[in-house]
Amino acid sequence: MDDRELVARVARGDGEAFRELYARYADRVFHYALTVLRNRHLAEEVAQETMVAVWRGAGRYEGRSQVSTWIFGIARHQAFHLLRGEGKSAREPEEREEPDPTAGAELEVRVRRALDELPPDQREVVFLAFYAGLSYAEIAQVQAVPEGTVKSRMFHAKRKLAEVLRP
Amino acid sequence: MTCDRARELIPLYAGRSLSDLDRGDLIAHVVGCEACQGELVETVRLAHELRAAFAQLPSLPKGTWISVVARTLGTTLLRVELGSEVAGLNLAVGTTKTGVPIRGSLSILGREVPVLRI
Repeated sequence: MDDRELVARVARGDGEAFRELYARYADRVFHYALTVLRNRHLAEEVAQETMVAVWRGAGRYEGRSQVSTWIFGIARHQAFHLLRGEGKSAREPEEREEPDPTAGAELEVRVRRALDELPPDQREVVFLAFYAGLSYAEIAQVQAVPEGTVKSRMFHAKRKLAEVLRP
Repeated sequence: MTCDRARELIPLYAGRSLSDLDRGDLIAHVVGCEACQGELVETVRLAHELRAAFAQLPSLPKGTWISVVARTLGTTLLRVELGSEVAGLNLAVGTTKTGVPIRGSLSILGREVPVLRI
């Protein structure tokens, strides 16, 4: 069953459809929030609030965007709403998720460090493009900015990250 | 296709979100452009490393689902289904942390239409 049909079923109160949608998206939303906020507890809260909002708002989803774009858009709104409420800034995370040196090769650790050093907007674009597989137009919808801004963020992010790969 | 346009599309190719049409155009350009070939190889490698890094992120704790269920699905107290395969009425009353949601829908020829959500 595709995502749109799942959302339509969720709108009708179908618990099984919601369980499936949760299985497909909750981890991705959590990873997205973790990438943006770099705070595990806040990211968990964002994931929970987002999935509850999906349940409550499924009836208002009009199908004009991809389901993934809609859900990441909700997650972004939740993340910034939470930051505003807590008086925090995405640029000043309360705590930092440090790379686990045993988790992978040296290159992987360097890539994660380079990611951490990117400005939040660029890190978000990198996540949405390379991990979530969104197009520029979809990322622009999530970030509520013109497509050109997304391309510019990608250009600068990629230039910084590519340096990590060079010997 | 110009090199500038190719450089815009290469990250989407690496992120696997490029349309079939754009992918075909990009490959046609890259085959004949050594500079963009290098850019493509570097970006695909970068995307691979980034996906590996993102894949190391922890999973959402299992308890989150339980919290979400308590705030959404809750427990169904009563479910009533009337009618036939042609047309029918479904009514469900549940309980969640925040209240007692009531949902109703009409089914006509196998298609459900929500009519009530309190």
